[in-house]
Amino acid sequence: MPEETPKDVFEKEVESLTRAKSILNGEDFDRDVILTEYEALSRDYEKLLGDARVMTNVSDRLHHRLNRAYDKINQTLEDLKEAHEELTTKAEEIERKRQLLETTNNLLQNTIDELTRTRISKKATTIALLAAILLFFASEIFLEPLVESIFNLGKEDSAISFLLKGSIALLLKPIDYLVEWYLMRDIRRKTRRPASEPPTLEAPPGADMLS
Amino acid sequence: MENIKLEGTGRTPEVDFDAHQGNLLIGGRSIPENSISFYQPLFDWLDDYVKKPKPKTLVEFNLEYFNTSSSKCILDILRKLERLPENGHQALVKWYYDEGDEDMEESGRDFQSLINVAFELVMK
Repeated sequence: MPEETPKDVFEKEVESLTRAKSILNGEDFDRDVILTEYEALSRDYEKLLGDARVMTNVSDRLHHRLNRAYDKINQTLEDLKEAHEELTTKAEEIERKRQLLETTNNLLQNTIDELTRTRISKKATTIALLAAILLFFASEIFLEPLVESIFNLGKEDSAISFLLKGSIALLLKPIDYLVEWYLMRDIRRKTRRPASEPPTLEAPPGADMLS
Repeated sequence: MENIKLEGTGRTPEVDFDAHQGNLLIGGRSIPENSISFYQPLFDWLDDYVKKPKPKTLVEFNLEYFNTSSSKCILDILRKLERLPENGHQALVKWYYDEGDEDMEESGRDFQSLINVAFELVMK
């Protein structure tokens, strides 16, 4: 029959106690038997006392070790909490700075756009003026003599001449708008803004009609 | 007689009982839920070994951590080893501990004070 597995670590000590109790409850009180059993019981008791001492010490040390580990975990938790608070503060600060940077960036972009618009406007005005001068000379040198010869008009009849010069003067502003719009479009293409961002430079009113 | 070789786990220690070499090792963590279930096969093996031991037996404890019931089982192992010198065989117990691990060192001293086998405390 296989040996039964002990139920706990004190199985032998329990056996020793059971044996001692059974002798006490028995009727055989032979001196030699009692002495032998008492000797065995004392020996077992001595062992058990030694075991109890060691186990108590081990248990105390384990307890202290657990306490130290607990303190360490608590300290780590405190450190983590502090680090978390510090990180949260820094994250808020970063967010504030990001918002400030975004505002500044928008202001800067608007200023750049305005500067670009001004620069382009000046350029467009110059080009329009040059075009007007060229048209004026073309009108004086080629167009006016050609019209006069076709319609047999005299030098004193200045109505056609006035009409031509007036047309050139009226064309000045539309040419200026048109040139500015084309220059702006080129700038927009070069900067390549994201599609989500609304365009800041729009075509001038009437540009479609002129083109 | 067969050797015992068990891999250590998070709760039970590594065991390497080599009857042919006479080298016995227990190392790692010993915090099993039921210590006696784990240690009983080792007790049975030791009962057989001490009947026909090698002339020299080296027993090494290289424990990181153990619970109270394991300490009782360690005591029982050491008590079984006491039979080796009683029968004229050599036995040496080496108790390893990490530098600065006073708990493990003190536990080794406690075991040393209780048993009659050559016992060395070895700092790793």
